[in-house]
Amino acid sequence: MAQKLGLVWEAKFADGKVIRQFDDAEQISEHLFKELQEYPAKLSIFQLENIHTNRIYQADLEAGKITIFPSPAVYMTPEAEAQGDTTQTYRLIYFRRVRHKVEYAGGNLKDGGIESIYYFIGFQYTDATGQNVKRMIQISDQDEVCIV
Amino acid sequence: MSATFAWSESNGAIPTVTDGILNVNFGNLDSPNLASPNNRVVAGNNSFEKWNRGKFSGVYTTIDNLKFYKSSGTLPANTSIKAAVNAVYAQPVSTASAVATVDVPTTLGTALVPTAPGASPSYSGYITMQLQTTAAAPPGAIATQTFTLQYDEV
Repeated sequence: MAQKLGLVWEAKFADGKVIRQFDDAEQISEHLFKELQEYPAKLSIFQLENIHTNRIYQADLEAGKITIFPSPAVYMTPEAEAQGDTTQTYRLIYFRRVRHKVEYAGGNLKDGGIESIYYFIGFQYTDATGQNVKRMIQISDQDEVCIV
Repeated sequence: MSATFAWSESNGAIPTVTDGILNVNFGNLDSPNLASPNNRVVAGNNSFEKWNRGKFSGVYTTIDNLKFYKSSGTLPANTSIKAAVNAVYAQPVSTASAVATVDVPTTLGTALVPTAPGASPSYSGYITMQLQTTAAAPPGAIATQTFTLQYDEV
């Protein structure tokens, strides 16, 4: 069964276009992630907002930076060689990792037996040596953050 | 919202598919949602195979990186749970499974990898399991065994 997501995304494009995951607080009208992939302008900002705490996790794909709002702001930037390089291309990393359980000799499941949802947001880029570098954090519904 | 998930089980020669199952209780009957303590497996015998899948519906772009494993529960001596993924469905049997032949993994790192579902609505690949016992298996109830399916969604 579906349940409301704790963290929802918002995407801002270089041409000013904004696409939000949901058009309503009830999370009935939802935009597919592929709309972002298909939109012609460059994706500049992608962020997740915790609907309960309003904490924001933002991947800035122009600057190559992850920032957590509100303060104290926490952010991750790429290695020095990549910083400030206007030719650098930062590619979004985003997915939800979901776990469902089912039991033998256990209780009856409800809501598909959901165990956990973790959200992953970040970016990746190719460094001067040709290596793919990832910068990513894992976030829980309770705003627990882990650098991965 | 996002993807809607339900465990699904297939039974019978021409599969009857039951979505939204409540458990995977192994037993001596090829049927979903077996109630304990009915349909017991007698020591020295096997349960009927379980043929389960994850059913995904609702709103999603991609579901991938599926992993299936037993995440908790200790089995008594002389009992085992065999497993396999992505086999072509065949009527469940209670003879030793020719499909589920390896012990179900108990860590995420060694998890089985079911095939990812396609566009919504869609099923994962089959997860086939069977409880196997020897004549020396102790009588009585088996402690809860928890199976986990993990996936990445966008």
